[in-house]
Amino acid sequence: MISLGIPHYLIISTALLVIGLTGFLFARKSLVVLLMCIELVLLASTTNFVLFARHYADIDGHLTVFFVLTVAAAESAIGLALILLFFRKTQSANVSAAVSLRESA
Amino acid sequence: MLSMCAFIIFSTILLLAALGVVFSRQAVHAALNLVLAFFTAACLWVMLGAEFLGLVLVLVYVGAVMVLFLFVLMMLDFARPVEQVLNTPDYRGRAAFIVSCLILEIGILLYVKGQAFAMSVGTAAISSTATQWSVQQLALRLFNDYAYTFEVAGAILLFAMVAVIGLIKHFDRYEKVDETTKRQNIADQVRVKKADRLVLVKSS
Repeated sequence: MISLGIPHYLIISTALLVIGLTGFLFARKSLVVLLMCIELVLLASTTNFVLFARHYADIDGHLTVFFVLTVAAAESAIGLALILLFFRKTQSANVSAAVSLRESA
Repeated sequence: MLSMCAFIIFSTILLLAALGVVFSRQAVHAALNLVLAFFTAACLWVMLGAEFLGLVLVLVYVGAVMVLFLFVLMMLDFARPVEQVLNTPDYRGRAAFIVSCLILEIGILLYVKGQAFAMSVGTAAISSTATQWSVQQLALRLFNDYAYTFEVAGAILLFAMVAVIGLIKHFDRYEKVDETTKRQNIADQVRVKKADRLVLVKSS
């Protein structure tokens, strides 16, 4: 029986990162789902911080996670406000509708 | 052995929930799956010895950010009335499934942590592990060495709030979309006279 170690957690966080990035790049649906995929990517990176804080017995990794959570909360609040305004302007929250923001030449 | 089993269960649920976020047809289902993903990640963090951060993740993300997401999604669903959206059986079934997953994860985590604690008490090895951090150590580090960064983080949250309010106000002033939205006009409120509001009616 293999004991639980660094590689197991790294595999999971890398898979999470790949899923989040794939969703961000290829799921051309709602803008809100795009923001959720960004949250998944941030979750993968913060999991790595927690993992290596334990590995190197250094509490600074935990503090970094704390600050990343703060910035991510601010980011999602502003993003959701922008999506709401976009919906009120175009009556749609799809990524394809965002083409209408382009300046008509 | 036990923690390996718990890790396999948690990571499977985490990856399935993440895939559910990406491949859900409805955005509300994606948000519910993201709640499950955050909670499972918090369980993994607790297994890594970051109990405080796991609790913060549940409180801040599941409690605040995901509620904000669901709130916005419900507001975007303008075509249907709110009662109908909330009573969709599809959402209810999914939400019940997510909540049962959360309860299962809490049970697994309590069992694994309890077993580990019992073993460490038996061998008196709880202080020998160097990665037993307390909230006190985290706070000492945060408010001594990282006090300036902490202030900056607070300022970022303040700026975000001001930016969101400014965006909404700007939009309301320059883009008249529909007249059904109720707005507050402070100039009109200040300019109001007694005669506008008060009518004296003589009885008898």
